Parts: sequence; structure tokens; C-alpha cells
Amino acid sequence: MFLIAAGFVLNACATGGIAEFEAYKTAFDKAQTTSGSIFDQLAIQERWLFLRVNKKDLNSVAFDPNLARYYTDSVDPPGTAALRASLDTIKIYNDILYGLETGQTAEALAGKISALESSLIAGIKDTSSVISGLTKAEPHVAAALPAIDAAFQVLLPFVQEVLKLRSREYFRAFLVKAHPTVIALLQELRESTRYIFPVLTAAIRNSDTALRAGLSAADTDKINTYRKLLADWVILIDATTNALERAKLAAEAPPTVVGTITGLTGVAVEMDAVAQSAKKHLAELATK
Amino acid sequence: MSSDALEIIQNLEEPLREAVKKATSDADRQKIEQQLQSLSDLDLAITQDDFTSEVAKLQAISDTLREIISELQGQIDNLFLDQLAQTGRDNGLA
Repeated sequence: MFLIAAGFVLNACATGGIAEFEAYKTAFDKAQTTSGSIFDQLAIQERWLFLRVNKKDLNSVAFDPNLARYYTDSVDPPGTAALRASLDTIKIYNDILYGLETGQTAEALAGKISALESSLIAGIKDTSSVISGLTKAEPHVAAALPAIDAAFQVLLPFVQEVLKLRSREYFRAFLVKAHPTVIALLQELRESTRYIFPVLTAAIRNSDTALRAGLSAADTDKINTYRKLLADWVILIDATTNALERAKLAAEAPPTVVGTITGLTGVAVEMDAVAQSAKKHLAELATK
Repeated sequence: MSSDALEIIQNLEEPLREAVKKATSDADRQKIEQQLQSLSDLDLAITQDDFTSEVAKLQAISDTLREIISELQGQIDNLFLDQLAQTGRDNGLA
């Protein structure tokens, strides 16, 4: 009975924060998908804005190689590229933690160790045969190889388990350690919408027609659609932030099963609704 | 705040647009349109400066996260090397 209870406690320690982290990862992936579509729009508008502000430098004889990202539309201009890179950095971080959490990293490491052990054994065999062929020396080395290899194969599952336990310790430690930075980055991305929105709408509100006659109904409609799209993104970022807070708290303390399931279901339902809304607003922009 | 500055520009533009409609000579109209164009240039310059500053903030935080990722990857590599050494010891190979 004691062993069963101890097993539950150990299992709770080993899995603390995992369900919450997976919910966070799903939330982030949804936010990143929506971000990709927003950044595609932003790239066009950032380029337009830069070329318009710097139109005096764009004469028929000047070419500044440092502005290559603005001249061509084959890559993102610098601001959009940096925004995309910020999200990609969080994604890389998430994927590393996910590998640690699920045991994939441990399996990969165990696989590497196994491959190295095999090549080591093969190397010793090769060397031994060369030596024995030449000098008949060290026959006991070759004789011991099958035993060493067999011992390793017996040990491998234990190695893998040790690596899994260690990698889950790393998962929790780094989830907690990086939490303030990832939260700061998510909050700055949220804050960036204040500055992305005027870039998205700059061409509309500064067109020759709008400048002289004010915004048309169609202009206002398009600006409102951009506003809704960014609002959807903010809500997805907020949900991602909340999910990361949950994951961090769960990694620090054993979770209660009911609390976890209730919280995660609520987050998932809201995220799906907002992700659908963002898709709708992107489709609307495409037809305007 | 940039949005405040952009709002002030918008508020300045509105009476100028009305003035364009009521201008009685081409010279007056051109003069007002030039003022509108100057405000538009200012709007775009502020929009770009704000966006560039915000991107710089994001890049700084991203750099910090990249450093944490490097540290994490270093520790994973060490975990691999530690376990490799342990496996070698267990097998009498080291």
C-alpha cells in the first residue's frame, strides 16, 4: 500500500506541469498560426511605409545594399522579420522543452549513446582482428566484446529511464527559469499591436483620396477589419500567457487533476473560437 | 504616446480638409493641400519611428531568450556526455 502511494507521489512529481505545458504549447501554436497571416500583411505595409517615408532617397541612381530587405518583396522587411523571429524563438524554446517533457530528447540521447557504443564495439573488433592477424595479441579483448555488448543492451533501458527522469527535471527547471523572459516577450508582442496597427493602416489613411476627402466607408471597413484581426491575436496571446502561467505554477507544485482539467478545457474552448474569428477576419481582408 | 500624436495629426487634418473644399482660389487650395501633405509625412514618420523602437524592444527580449536556449542546449549536451561517461564506466570501458 505504501509502495502504491509512493508510486502516485513519484508519478505526480514526474508529470507536474506536463498537461499544462502541452496546453500552453497548443495555445502558442494557434497564436503563431494567426501571427503568420498578420505578419504577411504587415510585411507589405512596412515596406510601403518605409519606401514612402524615404522616397527622396529612392531616385533612379541610388542603391543602398543595406536596404535590400525593403527593396525586394521576396523576404520580410526588418521589422516584420524581427517579429517573426521573436515568435520563432519562443517556438524553438517550446520544442526543446517539449522534447524534454515527452522523453523524446531522452530517447534521442539514449539512441546516440547506443550508436556510440555500437561503433565503439565495432571499432574494438576491427582493431582486435588487425592486431590478432598481425601479432595474435589480446585475444581476451575480442572474447569479452559480446559480454560487454550484452551488458550494455541490458543497461540501455535503465539509461533511457535515467535520462528521462533527468530531462524532466530539466524541463521543470527551465520552464520556471525562462518563464519571466517568455512572459515578457509575450507581453511585448501584445504591446506591439499598438504600433503594428498604425503601420497596417498607414497606406489607407494616407492615400491621396483619404488625405483630401477623408476616409471612405470602404476604408473605414478595412481599418475595422484590421482592428478585429489584431484583437483576435491579442486574445490568443493573452490565452497563451495564461496557459504559460498555469504551466509554470504546475511545474512548481503538484497539480490537482480536477483543477487542471477544468482550467484547460476553458482555455481550449476560448482559443478555438478566437482562432476561427481570426481566420474569418483574414478572409474578409482578402476580399477587400 | 504615438497614438496621441497620430490623433492630434488626425484632428488637425479634419478642418484642413473642410478648408480645401471651401478654398476660393487654386493658390489657397494648393497651400492647404501642402499642409495636409506635411501632416501626412509627419504621420508616416511617427508611425515608422514608433514601430522601429518597438521592434528594438522585442529584439532585446528575444536575445535574452536565445541566451537561455543556448544554456539549455549546453546542459542537454552535458547530460548526454555525463550519461555516456557513466555508461562507459558501467561497462568497464572507461
